[in-house]
Amino acid sequence: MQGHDQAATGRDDPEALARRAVARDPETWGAIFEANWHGVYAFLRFRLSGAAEAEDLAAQVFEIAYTRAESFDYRGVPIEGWLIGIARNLLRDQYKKLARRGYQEELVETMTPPEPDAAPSVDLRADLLLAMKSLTEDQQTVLTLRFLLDKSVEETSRHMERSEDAVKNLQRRALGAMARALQGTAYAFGGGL
Amino acid sequence: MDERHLDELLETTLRDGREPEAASPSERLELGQAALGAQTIRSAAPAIEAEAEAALPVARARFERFVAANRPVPAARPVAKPSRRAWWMVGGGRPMAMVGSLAGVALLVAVIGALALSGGGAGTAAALEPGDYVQLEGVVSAATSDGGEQLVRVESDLGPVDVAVSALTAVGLPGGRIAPGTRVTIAGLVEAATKKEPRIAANAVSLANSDGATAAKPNLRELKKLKPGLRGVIVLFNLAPAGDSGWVVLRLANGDRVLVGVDAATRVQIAELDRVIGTSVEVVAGEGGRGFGLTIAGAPSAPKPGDGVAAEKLAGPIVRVLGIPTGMDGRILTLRTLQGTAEVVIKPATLIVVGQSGVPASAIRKGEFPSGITLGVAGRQDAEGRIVADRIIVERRPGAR
Repeated sequence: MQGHDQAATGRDDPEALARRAVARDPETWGAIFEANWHGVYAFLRFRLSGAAEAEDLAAQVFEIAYTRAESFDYRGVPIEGWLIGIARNLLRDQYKKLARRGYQEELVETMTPPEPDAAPSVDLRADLLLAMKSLTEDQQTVLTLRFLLDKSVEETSRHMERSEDAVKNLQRRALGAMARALQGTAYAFGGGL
Repeated sequence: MDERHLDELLETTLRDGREPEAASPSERLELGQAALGAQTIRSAAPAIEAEAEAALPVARARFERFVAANRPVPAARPVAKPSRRAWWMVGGGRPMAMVGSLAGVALLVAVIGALALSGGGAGTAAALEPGDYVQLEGVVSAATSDGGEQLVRVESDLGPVDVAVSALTAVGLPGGRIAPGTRVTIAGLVEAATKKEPRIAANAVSLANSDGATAAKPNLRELKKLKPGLRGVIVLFNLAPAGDSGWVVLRLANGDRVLVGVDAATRVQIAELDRVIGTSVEVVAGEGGRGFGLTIAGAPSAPKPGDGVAAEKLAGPIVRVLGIPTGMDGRILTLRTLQGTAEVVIKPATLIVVGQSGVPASAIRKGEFPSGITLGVAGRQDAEGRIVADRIIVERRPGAR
């Protein structure tokens, strides 16, 4: 998922890109979308029940970003980080909505394996999705950034605004929690998809 | 066990792909499980990548539409030149002799001596060409039936137009009757005609909900220079066959009519509206130096009590879908949408707006779909649940030629 990242910056330095983004230049936003769609989608995907929900929320991330373009404050923070921040806030809102729907419904939703994906050639493992859902928000974030988006510890620390040591510690605890969750579903590691 | 020490051991394990020699047996157990967990997550990445890629065209189209609909209003600036077509209409871009030579084909609606708002002095000739998509409003002055087709004459702001109403036309009038005296909104494609008045093959005929009257003596002027704060109500919308030029006629508060050539983004924006006629707009500077922009200031008013059943109910609600074309069987296009598969009937009179996609409308009609395109369809559902398309908008990501 890394190859897309460079396209957003391509001919420009990040600051110039950010300036044009703030001015809502359509071409710039087209490039930002192309460069970051896969990353934003992947960030959201394992934390939601289905592909349609992930697609909708990912689309909302870009719409919110465009709407709030003038609030983007470039101080060494790449646009990707800003988008991931918006995605995290959207996820929080989504979880709050679930919570408002009531404990029982939430419980059923959490315990029910997601329906098979309609998207072609995709059949994400329900047990892996459930295991991810059993983690805390920060644990999900660190695992998604590190192992789905292939971010380094240093990049992850910037995204999460934590020290590198804190990220390393969080990632170890997250992997341990996921191991326990997967063992609870009699899952053998390494099965892949 | 020192947590920081374990964190570093895990990082080394993830980087090297194996546990460090220095790790104790219990540490190796924990590190091995953690590394396998990380690998399990990584193994999901290709599937998610594929999923994201599959979702990309629809998401891209959604975002492009969002950007187009929410683009900032640029600072007012004079527009160098109206669109080629609008220019031609006032006799500025092509020799009037050419207009004459096209008289049998291009449909000369009205020639009205008038001045542009900027004070120019060209004579005005507003024309509709065969293949143009048009929406206009007017009063039915005559209606005759010829076999399965009804021919209706409508007195519009551009003068009289003939409207062919066929079995494929959605008629949203009480009793399905188009009676003289009724104020109607027509949407359809301009056909070639032997007469000088244009003939429109109607996609839809519905009750007009505009409270404005048709100008008794049309006095049409073309807007040549941006006039800040200029507002009006759309009484006519015209789009060239490929959507590469278009114009509207606005009714101003003082009753004047103004012809406004519109830029590319505005053409798409208007074409996507469910109801164009009666929409209040403000004219703003356009993009790309070709035509003006319009910002929507108000939707058409709802049909008034006494108008009978609302036009939408009679003609059926407009259905809009967005999807990726997956096949074509005769006139039936299959789309993959977020909600599933949709079947779309393409009529001869269906407007296909190709915009900047670079895809010829003829290719869409033939079922030749280049990769990377999405189609936005607006139409009404038939009894079999298919969408009978009034308009199809072809979208493609910029640069994906």
